Amino acid sequence: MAQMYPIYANGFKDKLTKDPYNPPPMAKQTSPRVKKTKSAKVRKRTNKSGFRTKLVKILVQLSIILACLLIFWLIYLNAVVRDLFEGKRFQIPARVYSEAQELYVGAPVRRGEFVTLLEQLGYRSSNQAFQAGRYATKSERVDVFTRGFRFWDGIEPSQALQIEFGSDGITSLTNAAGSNVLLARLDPLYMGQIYPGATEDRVLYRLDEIPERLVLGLLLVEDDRFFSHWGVSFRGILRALLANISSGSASQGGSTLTNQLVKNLYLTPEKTVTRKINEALMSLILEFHYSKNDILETYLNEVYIGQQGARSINGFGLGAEFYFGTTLQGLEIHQQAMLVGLIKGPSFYNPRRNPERAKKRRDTVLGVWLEQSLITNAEYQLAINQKLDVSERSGQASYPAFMDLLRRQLTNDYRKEDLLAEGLAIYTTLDPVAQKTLETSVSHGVSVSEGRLDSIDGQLQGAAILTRPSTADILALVGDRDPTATGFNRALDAKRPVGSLMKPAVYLAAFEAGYTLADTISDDDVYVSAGDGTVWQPKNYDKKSHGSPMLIDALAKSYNQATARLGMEIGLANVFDVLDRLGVDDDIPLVPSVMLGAHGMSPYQVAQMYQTIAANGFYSPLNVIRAVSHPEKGVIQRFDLKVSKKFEPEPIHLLQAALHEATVSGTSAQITTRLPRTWWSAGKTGTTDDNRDAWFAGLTGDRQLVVWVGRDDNKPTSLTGSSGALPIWIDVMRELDPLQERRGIPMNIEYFGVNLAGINVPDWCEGVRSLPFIRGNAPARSLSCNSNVIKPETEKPKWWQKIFG
Amino acid sequence: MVAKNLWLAVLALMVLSACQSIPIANDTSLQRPNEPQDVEPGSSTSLTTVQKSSEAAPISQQSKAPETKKSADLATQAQEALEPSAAQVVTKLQMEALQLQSEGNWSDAELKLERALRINADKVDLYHQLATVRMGQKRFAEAEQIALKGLTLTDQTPKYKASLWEVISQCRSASGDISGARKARAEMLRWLEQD
Repeated sequence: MAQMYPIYANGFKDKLTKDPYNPPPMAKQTSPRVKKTKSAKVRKRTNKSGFRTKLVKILVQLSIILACLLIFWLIYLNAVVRDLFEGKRFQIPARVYSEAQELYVGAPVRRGEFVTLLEQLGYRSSNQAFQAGRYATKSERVDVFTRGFRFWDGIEPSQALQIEFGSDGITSLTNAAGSNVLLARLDPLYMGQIYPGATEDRVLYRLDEIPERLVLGLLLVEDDRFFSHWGVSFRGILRALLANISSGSASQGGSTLTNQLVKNLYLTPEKTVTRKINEALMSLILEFHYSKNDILETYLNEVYIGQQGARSINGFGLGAEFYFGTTLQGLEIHQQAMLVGLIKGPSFYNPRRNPERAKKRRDTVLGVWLEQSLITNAEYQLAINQKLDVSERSGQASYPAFMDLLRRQLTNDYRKEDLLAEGLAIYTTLDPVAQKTLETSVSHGVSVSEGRLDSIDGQLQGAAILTRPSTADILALVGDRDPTATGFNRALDAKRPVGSLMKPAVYLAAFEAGYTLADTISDDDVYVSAGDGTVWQPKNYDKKSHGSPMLIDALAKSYNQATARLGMEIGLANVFDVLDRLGVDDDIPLVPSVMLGAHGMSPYQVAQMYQTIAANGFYSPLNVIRAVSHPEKGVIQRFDLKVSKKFEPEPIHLLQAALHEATVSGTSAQITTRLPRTWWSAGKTGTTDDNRDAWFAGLTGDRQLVVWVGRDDNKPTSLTGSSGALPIWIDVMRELDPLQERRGIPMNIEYFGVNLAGINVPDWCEGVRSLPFIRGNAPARSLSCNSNVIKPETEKPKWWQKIFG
Repeated sequence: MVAKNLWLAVLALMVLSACQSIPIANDTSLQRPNEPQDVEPGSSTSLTTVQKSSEAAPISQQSKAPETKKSADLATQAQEALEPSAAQVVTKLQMEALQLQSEGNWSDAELKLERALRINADKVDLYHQLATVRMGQKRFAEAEQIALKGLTLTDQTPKYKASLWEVISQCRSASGDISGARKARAEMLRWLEQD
C-alpha cells in the first residue's frame, strides 16, 4: 500500500491532488529517476494484477449475489412445493348428512311425506316396529322405532314412537310407555362423502389399495426409472432437448412422474424455459422432502385424465368411475391400459370422442406391458381384442349440485387446517323429501315444456333452488334436468339474463323515495339515452301501451315501458343502490337496460336477491351448512344466524303486496287458479328477449323457490316465465304444501280502500281495492266513488321527460 | 363480582324453580301461546333498575336483567302451555339455553336457540334471547341486527318490543353510539307505557 501511495506513507494527504508522477520531497531520498522507473514498474505490475484482482473480485461478488438469489428462489419454491403438495396429500373423507326431521306435536310434516322420508332413510316397513330401523303404518298413525344418532349438539336416543297425523302435521307423539314425548329427532340422511380440502371431486386411494398391475403398468409407460432418479431425469431432458432443437419447439417433455406431478399442481400451463427450470427445481425439492411412495400415491390421485364440461377429472379413482363406472379394483386389464394411456393426452385420446385413437393408444400400452412381461401373452390377446368398453353415462352421483355448493362453501368459510381430520361430520340443511320433489318436478316440467317445442333435441335444461326465508337455509338444489348428472351446475354457474326479475329493485327504490302503490305511471312509449349516443326503447311484451296504471299493477303485469320510465324518474343511482343492498354482489354495468334484466345472474344469485325481500328487508347469506363436527374439537365454526338490516320493513311490505298482486291478477295469476285460494303467495316471472330464458322466483308459507328453464346453447325456446318456469314452481309448492303463516303488518303501514285513480274512497264503492300505504303517504280522500283528483305533482323531475319523452 | 354472583344465584334459583314446575304428563289446562303473559313483580323492577342506572353501567350487569325477566317469562309460559305443542318445545329449548347462558356457555346456548328457531321462526322473545347470547359473546353489532329483525315480526306485544329496544340501546352504548342508544331507550320507554 505504501508503495502505491507513498504520500500516505508519510502522511502528506494534502498533496494528494498534486501530480502523482511528481511526488513531493520525502524523508527517504532516492533519485527521482530511479524512483520513477521503480514506481512505474511497480505501478504497471500492480495495474495488471489490479485489473485481474478486480475482475476476480467482481466475479466473486456476482456469484455470491447469484447464489443468494438462487437460495432465496429455492426457499420460495420450497414453500410453494410444500404448500401445494400438503394440500393434495391423502385426506380422510368427511361424512355428509342432511337436515334431521324434528318430531313434536304441531310439526308441519304430514303422514305421506313422513313415510316417504322413512323410506329414503332406509327404514323398513313391517307389521310392528319391533326393532330400530322399522316402522309400521296404521291408518293415520305411524309407529316408528328410531335409530338414534349422535348429533353435533347432543345424543338422540333410539326409541319406539307412535305418531298421529292430522291435516296440518303431527297431532300426537307418544312413546312405548304411552307418555307424551315433547321433542324427538329422526336420524339424518347420510348423503355421501366429500374431501373437505378439495374444491373438486376426488375419489382417493391409498397406494396399497391400488391394484399393483396398474401401478407397475403406469411406471413402465410413463417413467420406468422412477425409483432411481432424483426427480429430474437428465437422460430424458437431453433426449427431449435434442428433439426440441431438431423440431424447433419446446413441446417434448422429458418428464418424470415427479415433473408431471409438479406440472399438475401448477395451475397455469405455460411452456417456457423458465417454467421448465422451475419445474425441474421443484421436482428436486419434492423428491428431497417426500418419499417415492408418497409422490407416487399423490400422482395417482392427482393426474389429469379427462374433462367433463367445466369439471376436470383428476386421479385414477375418479377416472375409473368417470370412464368405466367402476372402482379401481374393478377394472379389467384393457381398461387399466386405457387409463394409463390417457395420461399422454386426455382430450386427444378421449375414448368417447376419438375412439380409434384411444384404442390405438390402449393397444400400444398393452404392447409395452407384454414386452416388459407385466402381462402374459394370453392376457394380452384377450385385452387387445376387447372393445373400448367405456360406460355410457359419465358418472352419477347423489345430490351432485348440492354437494358442489357444499364443497364451495366449505372452502370459502372454513380454514383448511380445521377440515383435515379423521371422522369429520358435516351436517347440512338439505331436506331429503323436498329435494326429491324438486328433482322430480324439474325433470318432469322440462320434459313437458320440451314436448311443446318445435325441436326435441334434449337441449332444454332447467335449474332450481329451494330455500327457507326465515333462516336462509337452502333446502334443495337442482342443477340439471337430470338430477344425477355431475357436469355443469346451472343453479350456481349458469349466468343468464334475468329479464323482469330485476323489476322489483326499481319499485323498491320508488317506494323508498315516497311513491305509493296507488301512484300512477305512464306506460307510453319510452326512449332512454344509453349514454353512448344510442337510444334504448324498451317495448312491452305485447307491444301495446296500457295507459297510466298504478304502480302495483305496472309491476304485477310486468309492463316494461312503465318500469323503465319509473326507473329513470327515480334515478339509476338509486336503483343500483337498492340492488347492492339486496345482496346482488356482481359488478353490474351502470346502464339503464339492467333495470329490465339485461344482466346475467345465476339462480343462486337470484335466490339470494329475493331472500332479502322475503325476509322483510334483512339480508342473510344463503347457507347449506348447519354444523361441522370435528372428532376432537367438537363443533367448529357452526353456522351463525347472520342478519343485517338493509331496508325498512314498510317499503318491502309494499313491494310484497305488488308481488302478491302478480299472483292474483298479473303474470303469475295461474297460482290463484291452481293452488288453494287460502294461500298467500308472492312472486315474479321473468322472460328474456326472444324467449331464451324462462324464470320464476316466488314464495309462499316459509318457502321460496327460484326456477329457471332455458337452453344451454342460448337459442330461443318460445317459453315464457309463466309457461316454462311457473308450472314447475306450482307443482313443487303443491307437493310441499308449506304451512301458511299469519302475515304481519309493519308498524307504519295503514290500509286504505282506493279506486282506479288511487283516491281513498268509501269501502262500499264499486271496484275498491284495499292497498297498504306508508304512514305519511296516505292517499287523498274523497266521498265520491269516481273521484279522480290527481295528487299535486311534487318534485318529480321533468327535465328528462322533455329530452327523452 | 359479588353483585354478579348474587345475580347468578338468584337466577339459578329461579331457573330451578321454573324447571320443577314443567309437567310432562297429560294435563287438561289449555295453552294460550300468543296472549301476553303475566309479568312477575321481580321482573318489572329489574327493568326499572335498568332505567335508573346510568348508561355507563357495565353491560354484564344490564344483560342479567333481561335474563331474570326471561326466566320468569319462560316459567309462566311453561306453566301455561301444559299440553305438548310446538310452543312448549320451543319454551323448553329456551329454558335449556338460558341455563347454558347462565354458565357462560354461549356457543351451546346458541345451538339450542337455533334449533328452536327452526321450529318457530316467528317468536319474538327467541330473537331477544339470541340477541342476549350475542351480547354475551360481545358481538354487539350482530346482536343489534338480530333484535332489529325481532322487531319486524308479527307479534306486537309491547313488552317484547320494549325488551328488544332495550337490547338495541345496550348494544349501541357498547359500540359508543350514545345518541343512538338514547333513541333506542326512548323507544323502549314508549313501548313500556303501552304495556
